[in-house]
Parts: sequence; structure tokens; C-alpha cells
Amino acid sequence: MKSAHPNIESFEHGTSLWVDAWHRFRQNWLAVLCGIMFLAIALTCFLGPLVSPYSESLTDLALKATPPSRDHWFGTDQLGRDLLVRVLYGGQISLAVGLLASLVSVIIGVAYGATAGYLGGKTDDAMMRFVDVLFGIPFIIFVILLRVVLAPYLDSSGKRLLVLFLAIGVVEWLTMARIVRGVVLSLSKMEFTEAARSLGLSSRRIIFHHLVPNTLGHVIVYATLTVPAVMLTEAVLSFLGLGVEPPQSSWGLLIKEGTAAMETFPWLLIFPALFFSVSMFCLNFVGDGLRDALDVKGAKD
Amino acid sequence: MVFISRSLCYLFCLLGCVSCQKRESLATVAARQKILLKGNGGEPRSLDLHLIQTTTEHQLITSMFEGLVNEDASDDTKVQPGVAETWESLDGAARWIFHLRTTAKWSDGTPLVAEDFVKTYKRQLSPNFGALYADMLYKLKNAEDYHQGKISDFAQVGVKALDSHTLELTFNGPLPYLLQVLTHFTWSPLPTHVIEKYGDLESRFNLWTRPGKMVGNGPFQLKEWKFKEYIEVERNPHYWNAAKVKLNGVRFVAVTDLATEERMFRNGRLHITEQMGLDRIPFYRSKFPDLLRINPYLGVYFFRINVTKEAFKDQRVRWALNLAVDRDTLVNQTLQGAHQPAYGLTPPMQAPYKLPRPLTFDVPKAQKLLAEAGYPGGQGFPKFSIHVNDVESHVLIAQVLQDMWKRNLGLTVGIRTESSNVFYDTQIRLDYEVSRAGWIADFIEPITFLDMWTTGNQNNNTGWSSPKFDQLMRDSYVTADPAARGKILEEAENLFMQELPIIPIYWYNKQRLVHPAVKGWNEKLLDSHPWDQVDLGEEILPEIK
Amino acid sequence: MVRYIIKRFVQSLLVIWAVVTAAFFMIKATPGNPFASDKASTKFVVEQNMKIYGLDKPLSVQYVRFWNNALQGEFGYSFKYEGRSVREIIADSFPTSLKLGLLALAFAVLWGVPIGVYAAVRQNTWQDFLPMGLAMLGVGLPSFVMGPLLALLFGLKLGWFNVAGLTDWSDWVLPSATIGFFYAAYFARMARGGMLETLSQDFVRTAKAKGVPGWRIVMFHALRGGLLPVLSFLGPALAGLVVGSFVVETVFLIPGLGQHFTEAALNKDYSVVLGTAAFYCTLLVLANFLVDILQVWLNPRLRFSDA
Repeated sequence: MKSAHPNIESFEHGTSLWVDAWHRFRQNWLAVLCGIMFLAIALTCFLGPLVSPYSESLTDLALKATPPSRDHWFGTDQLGRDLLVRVLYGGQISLAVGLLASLVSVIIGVAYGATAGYLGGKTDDAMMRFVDVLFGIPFIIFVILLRVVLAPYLDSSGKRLLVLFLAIGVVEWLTMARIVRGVVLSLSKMEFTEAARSLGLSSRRIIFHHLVPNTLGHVIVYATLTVPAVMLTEAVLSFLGLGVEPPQSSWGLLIKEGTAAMETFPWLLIFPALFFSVSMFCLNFVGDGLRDALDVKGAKD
Repeated sequence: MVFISRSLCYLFCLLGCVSCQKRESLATVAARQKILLKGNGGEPRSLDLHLIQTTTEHQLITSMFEGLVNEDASDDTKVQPGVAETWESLDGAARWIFHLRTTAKWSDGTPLVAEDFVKTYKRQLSPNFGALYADMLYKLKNAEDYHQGKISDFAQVGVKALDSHTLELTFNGPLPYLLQVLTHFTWSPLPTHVIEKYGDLESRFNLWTRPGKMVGNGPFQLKEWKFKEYIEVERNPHYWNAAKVKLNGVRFVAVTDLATEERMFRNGRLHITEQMGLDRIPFYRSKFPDLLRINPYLGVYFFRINVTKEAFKDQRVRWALNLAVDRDTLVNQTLQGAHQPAYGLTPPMQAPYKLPRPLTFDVPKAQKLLAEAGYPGGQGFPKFSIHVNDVESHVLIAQVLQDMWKRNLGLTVGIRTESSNVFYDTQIRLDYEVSRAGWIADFIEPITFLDMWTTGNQNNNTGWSSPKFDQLMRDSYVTADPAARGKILEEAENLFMQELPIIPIYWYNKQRLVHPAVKGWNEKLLDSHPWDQVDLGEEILPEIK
Repeated sequence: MVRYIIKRFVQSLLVIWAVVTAAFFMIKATPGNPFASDKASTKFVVEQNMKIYGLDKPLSVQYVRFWNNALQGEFGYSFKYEGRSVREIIADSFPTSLKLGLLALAFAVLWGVPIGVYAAVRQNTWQDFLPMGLAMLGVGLPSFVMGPLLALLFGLKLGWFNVAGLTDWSDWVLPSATIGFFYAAYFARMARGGMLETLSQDFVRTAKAKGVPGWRIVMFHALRGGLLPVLSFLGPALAGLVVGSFVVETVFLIPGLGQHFTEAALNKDYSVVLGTAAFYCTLLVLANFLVDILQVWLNPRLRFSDA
């Protein structure tokens, strides 16, 4: 059931799932293009500020908000700060938070959901009801509480980011767990799982070596959808005092500010939103490409 | 794909249908019916005037309730007779007698009598009721003691009905500015006979403010209350001055979002906005100056300094922080000139003394003071944070201060945002270094900006305390002679401005958009507009693109 | 089946209890009080109010009292909106949110699922990428941008709709589209993934080999299995959809339930926080339960297990 129909060549070389997947991924031109673009954006965000003559916090109050010009390619904001460099710095924060917090949520969600789905019965019930409980707790109260409890530890931006990963990661894994559990539940009734079980493999081995790889498609699709959600949650948390501290910013915050003034200073919305949506588009197409590539059965061999 | 394209087709047909029926805007229709559509800035906490304390409810309350006196339609220094037709002040303004007009009635037709005021004040001062702004009445003799349960006989409190239409108010000391105080809604009467009909007079869960039940004595009465949408009031036929009222009704729309409110205005769904985004001001100033109203609004926007923190105990540090702020640039550039830079505490107004204006922008002096305090070039000064609540405009101003203090004084400053409720709590607990605040006057008299700084006042929250200042305030309460009183207040304000536990930033203006059809909406310092003056004409809103 | 339902019912009660209890202690642990404002009341008045609302009692007493009332369906009065009971607030605003949520869901399903299914059938061609790109709009433009943008474009520039308020049937279009766009992105992505998976399974191959027409395979054979992951997402999403959205309600001035979740938590409006949390949790449990049953129905393999 699990085996594809390997062609002779790959049979000879004994290619693994991953090499196979990579091979298939490379043939998907859109996904590759999007991947390159995403990397390019990320690189620009991390390297761009190094060559910029402006800094994130350098204000020019008399200049105020100006449209894009030779000096300021993306224009300036209400405090006369260069928007380009703010978008790039903001991208560092957003990408770091978005990718890392999503990764955290994927790891927890997959492990948890797969375990629940495979073990089934009472354990599954208990585990999933626990997820329900966490899902039901009002998020904002959780955030305010976290802000208060951790107040003494929020003195550096590094620590603030760490808390941010924590706050977001803790919440975002819930839906992931539900999805993985649903898929594993159906997989665990399939023949190959029965076979593995009858071979006497340990539960852990079955879950992580046989079931989880089969859920990766769903996981990737949902994880790439989680990233933008996480980035926007970060903006909300920053306002409640849990995220980045001004004058630092992030894409979410910049977009929020830009929206408030979108008719007067449209560039304040357009540029951050462009960076945000283009990278999210790319990320999601890469996600679809990866999903297709990992889908062993669907491979057009 | 067929399905998608087909559904898209339907969608566009649908949209087309909607677009072909070009309708008159709501504002035009409403103007014809003489119903004013007004943004209210949010849903009121209550329509029971004992259970409110913010400006969100102010205009709503004045449309349905009238006090002893009314504000003048355009002159802020004057008041007009309200429920009281005439009055006299006795004992050096410590005792006042009001003669109520016999034509004053509740909207259910019941005559309004002096006893209504007594019962209303009794409810507000009840030790069990928890009226939120009860301390406004503490000026009445024995009111504080009664409120806090130290005496239990309400007859001892300084409010008495001498007969059905004569009310006597006795105060702790002379109150030459009483008439200004009385324009505040906390002094308006409540229909106690109606409240009692629907439950206990002192119950918090008495639902007498609902449509069909609620009774008031103002120009309008409650017609419809759609929670979180709007409140509509209609003409009150029993209002003594009903013939003068021009509008047939007002709809107060509970819109909170600035951008939404502006869109509604342009879309012809509002005649008057409650506020507007500052970034839109240049646009309206240049293209539609007639729609834009920017008027002084008696209040001050400032930052509190926590003087209990070691570094801020030094007066020189507080001065340095103040002198290093370029208020003109901040207000005129960053805030689009929407407010007025504050060089002192009390905003410009008619006052019995010359209001002190000691603040300037003087970087060398600021640096010198900071160096004298032991922090040359900001060296060794502990890192501190500017504490703001989670509103974008506050965060923006905090960033400007952060930048100015870094540039001008070499200080490292953080910004700490908190959600409003937590923010207030932090402020009360003095768990901050520099924290945002705003103060809007309750009535037009400088005392409303001064007495909050007395020791232990719930609105002080800086840890600043001066026995001399407290004494001056107490002196002012017992001085009847305006000139002598003015001298005392001047000394108090000068003392405060010298010790400077705050950083004034700007004096408020009210910015809003007003439909050309609206008449009689005058510039008023407290943004309180007598409703019988407001009218709607035929004018149509120009297209704003 | 009856046994399963009873079991789930009991579990659900436990979940609701746990959520409300956690919310109760969490919100009490945060600083601030419901009577704080820019113009502070005197300390004495604040204490008076705490007493009136029973907040001066020890936590354990408050907790027991809360459940005592809650079991009789009474969650008390809002602290922010005097004299409005939590029950009244929910009864007032939930129908609006429910209607808006279902419209948005309809929009999302009608816009997202067909795109996802179609894209899966045309995998890796421009007919896959283009529709998927369209569907992704909702993720690329968050609702706080999408809402004002739609209002500006269709409300002010084109004049097709009112920019805010609910006075006309057409006023529902923009807000439900704003929410719908967001969920449509999820539905499209997940439907595409699920469909591709099913389309590659043996029974589909068999059907194909037997000459069953392509669209029939999609509609009658693959769709069922392909929508499985959509379903696991739908559970929590459904509950979230029908209780409203803070952003959309603020932007379009809709008197829905969504704003109360955020507002009450920020204002320390204890009774509203707990009442809405219990309500949301009930909906969530209900939605998950429905989804679990649907999952069993869509996946015959699960049918004969203990479910």
C-alpha cells in the first residue's frame, strides 16, 4: 500500500522518500519559483538593512509622511522614518515569529494529534477533550495574564520574542492536532498499519515512522496557512504589550498602522501589505508544491 | 470552473441590481425629517446618569435630562436658566436658593418638583448604591459624611425642598462658580417616581432606562435603543421649552472606529462625527474646509511622572524631561496641528488669575539640569519606559518622546503598552516611570485641573504630594472673594508647575466632520451643545473623493 | 450510537466546566478592576461597587456562587453595560452573529471548495495556480485590511453598498465577504490537498480504469474522502464563525457577539467573560461533535469501530 511504483532507476539507487520528493518538487516550476522568491524576500529582509543609510528608529519629524521618492524608495511614515528599512526590519521579526512559532505548533500538534489518533479509545477521548478545553479558554485573557506574569522578564527584545513564540505556539497547535488526529484515525484503520502492528512494531515506531509521514501533506498545507495567521496575531499581541516594543515594528503592525491611514498615505499600507502577501502567497504555493511532492501515491510516475 | 464562472456571473448581476437603485442618502432623508444622525463614539455604559462617568454618555444624557441651569448656546462664560427659572446666592455664595419653573414636567406629564432633586441626590449619595461620580456632590454640606456612612440622616445633607418649587442647596464653603458646576449632568434630577415603579430606587439592576419605561425632563425622550447599534430619541412634548426645539429627534450611533465613522459620514449615514483620524485633517483642510471643525476642548493631554522612583525624585530631572520635549513640532507636525501645544497645565480659558505658562523647548537648559542632577549626557540614568495604553495615537506620541529624549538628553527609553484596564491599575499602583494621561474638565473653572493633585486624590497617581499645595486648595474652598481666591489658585498652580510631576503635551481640540445641513452647532469648550439650538437644513453633502 | 452520544455529552459537560473554571481563575488573576477608567471614581466608590457585585468576597465564595447561578442559567449582569444581563447580551447579539457567520461560511464554501476541487483536478497547470491564487487573497489580506478596502471600494467609490450598519439586506454582503474570503483560503487549500490524496487512491484508479467519467469520479467518489481534512478544520472554525468577529463588527458597525469576547476580556467584565466563554465552549463542543459524526459518516472505515 505504501510503496509507490518505483521506476527501475530509483529502484537501483534505493532512493528515499525525501530524495524522491525533492525530485518531484523540482519539476513543479511554480513552487520552485515561489520558493526562490520567498528566500529572496527573506534574504532582503535580513541583509537589506545592512546597506541602508537609514535606521529603523531614525525620525525626521519635520519631514512627516512622504510618498516614495529617490531618497526614500518606499516613502516615509508619520514620524518621517524610512519605510523601506522599517519594512525590512519588520520582516525579520515577522518571518522569525511566523516561521518559528508555526514550527513549534507543528511539532506539538503533530506529535499530540498522531498519538491521540493512533491510540484511540479512552486516551484519544481524554486527549482531544483537553484540546477542546484549551481551545475554549479566551485567548486575550491568557495573553493579559501572560503579560502580567512575565512582566519582569520582558526587559530585552530577545526575551520578548521568546515569550511571543511561546504565547502563539501554545495556541496554534490545537487545530493542527485536531487535523492530524483525524487523518491518523483513518490511517490507523488501514491495512499497512495493521501490518505494522502485526509485525510487533512499537507504537512509537508506528506513529512516527509510518503514520506521521503520511500526514505530512495535510500538515504542510495547514502549517503554511498558520504562518500568516501567526504574523497577524503577533500584531495584536504587540498592542497588548506582549510583542515587539516600539520603535521596532513588524509587518502585522505596519499593515495595521497603514490601514488606519490608507486613504491619506496609501504607501504606508501598500508596501508592507505587498511584502506580507507576496511572501504568504509564495509560502503557500511552496506548501502546495511540497504537499504534492510528498504525496507518494499521487506521483505521476 | 463552469460553476465558478456561473456563480461569479450571478454575483455580478446581483451587484448590478443593487447599484441601479441609486437612493437618496440616509442623511438627506433624515435631514428632511429633522432627525440628526450623530456619531457617539461608542455604546454608553448606561442612561442612568448616576452610573456613568465618561464623555460617551454626555450628549445622550443632556438630550434627555435638564439640570437647574443650562449652558449657553455659544458663550462659555454664561449659563441659561434650566429647570430653575431664577436663583439667588446667600451667605457669601455658600447657600443658594433655586426657584423652579412651574411649567417643568417629566416626559410622562408629571410635574417636576423640588423634592425630585432631594430624592435624586439622596440616591446618588447612598452608601449602598455606588453612584460612580458621587464625589461631584461632595461640595454639598455633609454629603461626604452621608455617602461614607458616617451620618445616616439625609436631612443633615445640604439639600432641602423649601416648598414644591423652591430648592435650597447649602455647601461646605463659598462656591462663587456654582452655576458652572451645575451644568454638569451629575446635578440633574431623576424621575424617582418612575424608577420606583420598576423596582427599588437604589437597585443597580432596575431596568427603568429601557424604551417604553424611561422618563426624562430634557428636550427629547428615549424612542429606541438598539444595543451596540444606536440610540434614538424623539421630541418630548412635555418639555417646558418644547416649542423652541427644532429637531424631531436625534440618533446616536455607537460607532467606535475612526475610519468607519469617516466612511459613514462620506456615505451620508451621519451628520456629525464624534471624532476623526488626525491623518485625515490635511485632506479636509485643503479640500473641504467647511466640513471640518476643530475647536478647543477644555482638557489637557499629559504624561504623569512617578516621583516615588528614585531618579525622578529630583525636580531638575523632571524639568529636564519637560524642556527636552519640542511640543510645537510634535503637535504641529506629527499631530497635524490638530491640538494646541501645552506650555502649562490649565488650558486657555477665562480664569480668575493669569494662568502660568513656564514650559519652553530649551535643550541646553535641559542638558544642564540633567547634568546637575548627576547624569551628564544622560550617563548613569536608569533605563525607563513610557507607559501607554493600547491606542495607536498614544504609541505614536510615546515614540516621539522616546526619540526626543534620546536625541536631546541621551536617555535610553522603552515603551510599554498595556490594555486600558490593566493600564489604569498599573497607574494607580504607581508601577510606572512615565505614564500617559488625559484630563477633560467637568466644568469651566481652573479648579477642575488643580484639586486632583491634592494628596490622596484618586486622580493624582503620581506619588506627588505637597502639604502647602493641599493647604492652598483648602484655603480656596473657603474663600469667597474672587480676587483673593484667584490669588490662592495662582499660587497653587505656580507651585505645581514648579515641582512639575507631569509632562504636559497638548491642550485638546475637538476634531470632527459636520454635514453642511447642520445648524446651531457652535464652538463650545466642553463640547456640550444645547439641544434646542440645533437644527437641520436642506444642504446636501458634496461628494468626497 | 446512543452510548457514544451519551459519552460525548458527559465529556462535553466536563470540558465546559474546565474552560469556565480556568477562565474564572485566570481573569481573577489579572490586575485591574471593572470600574477603572480615565476619570477614576474614588476608592470608596470602587469599593462600594465591588461589594454590590460581590467581588469583595473570597474567590472560593465567588466561585461557588458563580456556579450556583450558572446552573440556573443565570450569568449575572455586565459590569460595563449597567443593567444588561449576560443572557440578554447573548440573546441580543448572537442571532446577528449566527446569520453573518453562516452567510460567511456559505461564501467561503462556495468560493473556496470548488476552487480547491477544481485546482486538484487540474493539478500543476495554470488552471490550478490561478484559482488558488484567487483563493489565497483571504490569507494575503487580513480582515482588518480587507474590510475597510471592500467598504472603500464597493461602498464609497462604486456606491453599491452602504459602508456600515445593518439596515438593508445588502448590508450583509460586505461583512460576510470579508470573513468569507479568509475562510475560503483555508477551504480551498485543504480541499485541494484532500482531493489530490483521494484521487490517487486505488478505488479512484479502479473507477478510472473502469471508464467512469472524470466529473463523476470527482463528485461521487473522491469528494467524500477529499473533504475529510476540511472537516476537522471546520469544527473549531464553525464555532468561531458563528460567534462573530471583533474586527468585522467594528469595521461594519454590526451589533454581534464577537466584540464582546474581546471587549469584556479587556474591560475585566467578569460576568460577560465567563458567560460568553461558557457559550462559546458549548458551541465549540457541539460543532466538534457534529464534525466527528460527519467524519464517521464520510469515512466508512471508522463506522464499525467503537464510535
